[in-house]
Amino acid sequence: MTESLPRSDDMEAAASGATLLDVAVSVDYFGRQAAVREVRFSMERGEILGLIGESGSGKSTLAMAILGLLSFRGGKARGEIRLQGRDLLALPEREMRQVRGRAIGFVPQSPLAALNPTLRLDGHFREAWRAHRPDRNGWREVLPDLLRRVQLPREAEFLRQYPRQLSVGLAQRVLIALALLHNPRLIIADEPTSALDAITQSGVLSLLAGLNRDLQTSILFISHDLVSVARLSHRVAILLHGELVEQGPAVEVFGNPQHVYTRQLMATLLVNPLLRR
Amino acid sequence: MLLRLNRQTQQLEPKLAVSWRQSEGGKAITFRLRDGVRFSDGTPFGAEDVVYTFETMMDPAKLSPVGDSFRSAQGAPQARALSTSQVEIRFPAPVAGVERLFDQVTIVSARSPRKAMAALGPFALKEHRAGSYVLLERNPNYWEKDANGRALPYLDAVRLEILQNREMELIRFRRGELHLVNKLDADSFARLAADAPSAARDAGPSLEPEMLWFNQSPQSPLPAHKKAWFQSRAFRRAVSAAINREDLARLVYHGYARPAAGPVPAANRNWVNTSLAPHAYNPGDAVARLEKDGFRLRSGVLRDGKGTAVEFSVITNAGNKAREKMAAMIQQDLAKIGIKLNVVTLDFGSLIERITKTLNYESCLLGLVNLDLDPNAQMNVWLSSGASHQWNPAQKSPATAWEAEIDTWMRKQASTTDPARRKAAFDQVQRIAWEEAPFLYLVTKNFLVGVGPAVRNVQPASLHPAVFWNIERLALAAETSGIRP
Amino acid sequence: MKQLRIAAMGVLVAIFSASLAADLLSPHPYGEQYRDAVNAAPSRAFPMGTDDMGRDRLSRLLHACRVSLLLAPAAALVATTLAGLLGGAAGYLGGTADRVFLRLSDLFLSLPWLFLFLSVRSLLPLNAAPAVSAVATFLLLGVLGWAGPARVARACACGLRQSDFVMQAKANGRSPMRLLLVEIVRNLRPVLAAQFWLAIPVFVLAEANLGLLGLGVSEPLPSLGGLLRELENYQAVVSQPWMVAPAIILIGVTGCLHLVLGWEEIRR
Repeated sequence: MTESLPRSDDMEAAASGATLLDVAVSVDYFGRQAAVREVRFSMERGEILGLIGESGSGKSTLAMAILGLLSFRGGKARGEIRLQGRDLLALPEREMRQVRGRAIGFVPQSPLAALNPTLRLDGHFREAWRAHRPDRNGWREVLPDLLRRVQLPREAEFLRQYPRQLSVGLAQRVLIALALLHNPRLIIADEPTSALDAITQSGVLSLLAGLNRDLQTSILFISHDLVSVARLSHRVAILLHGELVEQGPAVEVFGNPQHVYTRQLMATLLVNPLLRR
Repeated sequence: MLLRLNRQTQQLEPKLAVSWRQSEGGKAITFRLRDGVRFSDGTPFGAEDVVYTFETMMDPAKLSPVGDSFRSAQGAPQARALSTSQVEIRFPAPVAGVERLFDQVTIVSARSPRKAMAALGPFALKEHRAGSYVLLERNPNYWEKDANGRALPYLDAVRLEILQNREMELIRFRRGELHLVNKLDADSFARLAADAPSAARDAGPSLEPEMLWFNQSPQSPLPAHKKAWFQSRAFRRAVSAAINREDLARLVYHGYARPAAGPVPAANRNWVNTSLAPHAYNPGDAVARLEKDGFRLRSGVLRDGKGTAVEFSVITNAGNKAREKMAAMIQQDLAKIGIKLNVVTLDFGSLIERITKTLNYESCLLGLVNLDLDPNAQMNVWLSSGASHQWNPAQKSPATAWEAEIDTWMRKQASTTDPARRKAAFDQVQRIAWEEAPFLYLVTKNFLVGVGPAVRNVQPASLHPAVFWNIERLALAAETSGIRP
Repeated sequence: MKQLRIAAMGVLVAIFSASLAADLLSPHPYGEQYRDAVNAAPSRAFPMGTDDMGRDRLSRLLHACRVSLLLAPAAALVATTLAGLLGGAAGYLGGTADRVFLRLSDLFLSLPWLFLFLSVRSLLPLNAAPAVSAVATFLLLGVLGWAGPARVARACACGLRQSDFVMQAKANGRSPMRLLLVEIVRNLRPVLAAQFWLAIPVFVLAEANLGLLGLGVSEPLPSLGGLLRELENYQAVVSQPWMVAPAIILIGVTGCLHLVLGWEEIRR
């Protein structure tokens, strides 16, 4: 069973409090100061936090900052990002690599582009497994349960396919399965549904909700789509021009928006998203 | 020049000197100079110019190669003007055949302000671009006239093109852009002969034998058994007898070469030892010589007395197709007597380094360029102490009895000015070289030139410079721009 | 397209198996000089005539193919593998590594390597077998030939570095080495394949030019490059048109390799 997958032991030891993630950062890019300015938020274990903002508001930058990948995009984070008490910004790259994929899973925006076109699907699982486990073939044992959980075919033929043979929806499920492979505490999903059609979108949202319910996996759900966020999130944070303008339980933020920008966002919708819950 | 060697008759003829006389048993030579001659820039010519030229040439700092050939162990010669038209040159010891060296001495003006441009010859230098061309212009003050009293030279200018590519040379010659080609390789010549027979002129056997020699030096880094092979006369003669020289001449040189017998090609009429014939091709005889020397030929492999299979390498310069082909043919010839020959082509620099400095080679295939007919020019090759004594250079004392004997004969020919006695001594050197075979002479190439249809009065000779040695008499049928050899 | 590819494959198989079986198929030993039949026209005894030393052209061509068509692809493989690793790493890592790479490849492209070849030949023993010198030459060509293809690989790797799937692989915590091999070099394969088949004729001709300097394959062992050198003599080619066979073989093999390898990449 997927539930029986071992979580990282050192992470377990550090997980004294209930707070999973504590973020207080600013991000500078070369030539652009403070793309993200003094953003503070925290996540509890088992919580889904919806991060809302339009393109360029700094949502993806935050995701990259938490994963420690900003340097590859030419950015630098200041402040603190604590995962179960450990400051990720202070970790050397060697240890940070152990966090990526193992303690934090990542689901990207464009599923087809995020898969290596020259690698068959099983190759993706093999490589992701080898990144953190010494045994070469362990992934073969956990894979059937994983595929069942994300509702993907378990046949060998399916795994022998190349990414370009997949539909976008299937590809996104493959990426979710990859994110789940090492049973991480936290999944960061960066606009995971924006490339999908409405029906597929709905399926992926249900899947994420199910993971949260069954595995107690926390999810940082980044989106510009209020409807999706409202449907999935326990709490909501609103990002505007790199600053967090409002955050709180979904019911409060959507029910009684305080900030002007939040109200503007709400106004674009015909129906209050809470009503569709 | 004071005298000129007629490339056709191989005799000296008067030029700036109307006559000359040797005296004191060869220790002095007196030239009587031509009157009324002027340099191309108008300055008059006289005895002081000859003295000046000679002194400049003998200045050790000038490193003149011609100057070196005048010098002897006893010291340098001195020039002295006896009058405005008489010069005497005195040597510390008699030098045999010294007058021919004056063929290569260009007289420089002592008084002209622009010495490099003042010429006495038929042409003066006008322009020179290194590696590209030399442009010569008619000397208006040239003294010589033809039989009809017309001033020589006939041509107004000569352009010497320096071409890197033989293919290009032939193409431009065929197009008529070049009037003369001074030297063609046998491949190009054969092609030219096929489609323009009148332009392909075979000037006959040259002074340039192709040869192969073994490294006999005791200082070489070769294993002892190989040194033993190479130092064995029987081995060298056997290899020589196994080489089919007729085939080399026929296939590599398209017949424009002939088997060589010794260091003096037949073209050198005054010095060749006519009693010597090329080593005959006879593989049976080769094997017999080897067996007598302790080698054994069994199932196609030749082994020495200790059972070592005979295998050696021959080095030659890369890019010379004819030598590469000869090496490949010798490879097959030697395979017939059970010897494995490995052909290695090296760039010229590494080749020279190996044969002169490191002595790390087994045998070498190379040609010899002789500019000089006189045996004195070959002292350095034949004396065992000589640096060009290739098979075992710069010996302190002769390594073998026959090398000692060659030393004796060479010194003997150099110490007399009597032509008959010199010839007799040099005949002995040629005989010993034939018997001992330190150099295996392979073939003598013919001197092959290309003469365009418009050029007149060409007398191609097999000595350098073959087509334009009589440049003052060359002419073009239609008076066009000039000749371009 | 498919028929064409099968035909190309057939041609390649035919040429390569013929060159592998050169010893069996050759009517004569490749070095044997039939001195009474030089420059002979094709006949029953000499199906493609003889060269200017009376050696059977067909036998020489077969053996030349064996030498050149086995060694040139091997050298090309060495060069493109190095190019993929070095160019891929430089493009992927960027920064200092990339600058060092660019300097180094500039240096490799501009240095006169001839001197190295010359010294290598003088280091080899004089009695080294022709095959040894042939292998050494091609190996060196391969080792020195990485710089050009590596520049191409680097440019592509620079693009790949910014791609989503590389970012995704990083987010999975993959080690830099696996990232380079699996994400970068694997995706450079079409580019490297193109560089590979371009390198084959280049190396065959490079060997011919080295032959002019006495490097490369030595007598009497034939190589395609050595046979191509004979084509310099254009008048002989006019009178003996069958001399162009080596050029046709070289063009044919390159073209067929292109078809076969190119198709492989389209399918993927």
